[in-house]
Amino acid sequence: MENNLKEIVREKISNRNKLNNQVKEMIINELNLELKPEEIEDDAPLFGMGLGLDSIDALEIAVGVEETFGVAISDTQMEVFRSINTVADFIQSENEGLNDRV
Amino acid sequence: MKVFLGYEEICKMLPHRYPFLMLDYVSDIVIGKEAIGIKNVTINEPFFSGHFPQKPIMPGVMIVEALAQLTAIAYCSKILEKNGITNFDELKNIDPEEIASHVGYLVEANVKFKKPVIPGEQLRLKVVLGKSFGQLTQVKVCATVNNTIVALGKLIVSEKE
Repeated sequence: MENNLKEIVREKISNRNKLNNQVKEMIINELNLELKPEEIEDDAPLFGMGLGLDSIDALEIAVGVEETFGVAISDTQMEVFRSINTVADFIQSENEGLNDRV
Repeated sequence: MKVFLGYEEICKMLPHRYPFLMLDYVSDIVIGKEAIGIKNVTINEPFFSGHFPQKPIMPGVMIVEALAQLTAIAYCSKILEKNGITNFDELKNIDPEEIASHVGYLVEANVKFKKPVIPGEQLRLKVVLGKSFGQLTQVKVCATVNNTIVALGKLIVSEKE
């Protein structure tokens, strides 16, 4: 039973790491950044300090999230862009919401 | 929708004038979404005197400017509709400053120039407005000459504050 739980947790963690990496790759491609995915920290701020992105980049990330992950971010949800983790959280919660509805 | 917006109508919708009006007419509009326009390139263009004296080539940035102006037309058509104007004949009754004052700025251009454009060629411009985010809108743009793509890419434009 405990082993089963460990398996599930391990799978969840690996899925999440995969998603975080996909988000990083999408941002790197979308913004033509000279970075590798492992050089971006999961919790580092994307705007201002950290990656130093601006509002123009926000539009391109929003387009990238929509094209790559099929979920739409609206401009009232700026908090989604805080970090890689918050973008991944958003994608995950939107997809889970979708699965619930199906 | 098929339309014919010539010099007079375009002047009602854009603040640009000679020598910087890079659209001859607009032939198709999907209000607020898409537009197709024509720019005839002649040796009389002022920029050909310097670009280049022995070998006239239309500067890529001028193609981008033409695409950005067409984007403004597609964008302004939405404002016209909001004001209850659906028929472009009604443009005659409009104060040009009114709509032109909504024309915003070009924020980013990411365009590939695939073939030089020379005097005598006709540019067929197409713009498709994409996702908006805050004041910014992404636009897919394409310019062709004789059905061959000469410029292809995307712009980001902003609303005027």
